[in-house]
Amino acid sequence: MKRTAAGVLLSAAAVALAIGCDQETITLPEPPMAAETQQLVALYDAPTATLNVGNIQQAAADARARLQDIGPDWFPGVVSDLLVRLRARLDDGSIPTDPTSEPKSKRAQLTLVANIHRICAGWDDPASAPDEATNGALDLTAIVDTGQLNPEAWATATACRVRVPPASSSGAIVVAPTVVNATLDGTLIIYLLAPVPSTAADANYLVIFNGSITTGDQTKSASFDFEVDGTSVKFRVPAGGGDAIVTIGTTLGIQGANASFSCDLTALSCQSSS
Amino acid sequence: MSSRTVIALTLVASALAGASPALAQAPADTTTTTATTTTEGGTTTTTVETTTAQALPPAPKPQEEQIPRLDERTAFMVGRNTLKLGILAFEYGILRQLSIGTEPPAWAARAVVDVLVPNFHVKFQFLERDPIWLALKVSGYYARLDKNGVDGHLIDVPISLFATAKAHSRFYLHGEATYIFARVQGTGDLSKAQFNGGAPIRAGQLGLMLQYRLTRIFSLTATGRYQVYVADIPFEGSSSVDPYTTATMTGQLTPGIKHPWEVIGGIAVLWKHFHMVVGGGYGYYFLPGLNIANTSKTFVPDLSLAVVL
Repeated sequence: MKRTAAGVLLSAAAVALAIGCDQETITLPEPPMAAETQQLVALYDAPTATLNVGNIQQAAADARARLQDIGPDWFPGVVSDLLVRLRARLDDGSIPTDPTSEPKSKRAQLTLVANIHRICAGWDDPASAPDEATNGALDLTAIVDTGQLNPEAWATATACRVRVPPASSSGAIVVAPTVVNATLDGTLIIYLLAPVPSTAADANYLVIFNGSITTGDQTKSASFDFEVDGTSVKFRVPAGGGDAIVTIGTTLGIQGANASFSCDLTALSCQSSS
Repeated sequence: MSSRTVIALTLVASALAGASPALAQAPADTTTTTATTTTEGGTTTTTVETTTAQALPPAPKPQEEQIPRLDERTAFMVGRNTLKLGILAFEYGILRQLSIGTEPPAWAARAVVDVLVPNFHVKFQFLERDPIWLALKVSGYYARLDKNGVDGHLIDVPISLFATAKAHSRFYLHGEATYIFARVQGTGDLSKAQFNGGAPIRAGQLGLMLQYRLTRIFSLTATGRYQVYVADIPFEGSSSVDPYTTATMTGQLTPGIKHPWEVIGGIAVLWKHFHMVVGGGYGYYFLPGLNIANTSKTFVPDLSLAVVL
């Protein structure tokens, strides 16, 4: 009996040990440039540029040049579309979508990495299944830590072909040609300022892009950031010893720490609006 | 001292020595001797009559087996060739120290969660040395998950070590250490496939039951259970959002309550062919058998009825 008992105990211990070794704990990836991104978010809320009639013309010219890079009538749509897909997936799993909401205590909490792989639409409307080899793809990563969505998500664009029909243009000013055939390569950091949008109209986020954009035959390296709030797009330009925030509308609204100006893009004439 | 007095003292001494059961069962053997003293010349004659009563050997104590034992969540067994049909367990004793069974509540769970949970367990008593008994119980639960976009299955394997100690002829300590291992496998949105957010994949629980036997069949019980350890629940799944988009989720679920507990007071009535345990307490209700705890504190019922054949 003693031998049997010892054998059973040893077997049980072995089973328990084997089970115990099967431990899996997820390690969340660190969001890239987290501190810098948060500083940038704060900067959009409180611009640091000191603007006056002496430097506002230069700021307006810089804003116009930056506008060409950003492509406000198509780039935000690509990002918003990606976030809408993320939202659909999060909703399917009852996973938190609002980075500002606190998780409920005493509830089971999710910690996860969500990866969205989206084949880009391409320059044509394919009748069959989308072809990743031709159209490229976007890969988005979002993380949920103990029941709370991290506001920072990040994505990689790999030879992502985007065609923007003029009808979907969200910007009031059309800088690019009426039909854009663009190719994106690079990294995007997306900082959510509101819940992950269900539609493009609900979108409110900040984007930092580093990479290259090919429009037509022209490929340009680009590094910029902009903020989307529904249909409104803002971006940042250096001016007056700091950074000014430019709001795209029928005119360009340029806001500094001390003053705001409204600038006509064509004439590059500015008037103080504060 | 008269002979009657001697007889009385002898009987009292026998009673104090613990022979009273014998008295009730058979008359004592008696031996009578007579001593006679005769003095010649005088006319003194003394006659002493001595009677010795010898009690029968003590009647054998009732066999422990004759006292029905609490065999749920203890190291005691249902018994060889014994079938127990209860609301918490169907148990059959193949040997005196080996039984197999299944738990109806897990099957009945289908009525509530629309998931069939077939289950089976084996219990083996590997030490029976009064006043210590040890038993090991290994259970297996299987659930097919095929709802809400989930295509997978859940396997739950609790392993329990039971130790029973008889601290006194009427007082028992029933200890339990349980390790629960479960795994969810499949595809789809497995993060939603949880039992109200409280399905531990790896957990360790300790239980203790105090049993005080007031009579042969009637006992008072006090039970406590505490989850000392629980691991996060890993999951992974992928799905298509649309023809252009696929989503992959890799993560883990952290139970909201890591250390649920319950305390229960109750009674156990153990007739030979019918067992009843009734009680009530407070804490996080642990599903019987599965040992998965509820996520909020509440009244904890305890009811077990079984027919023993």
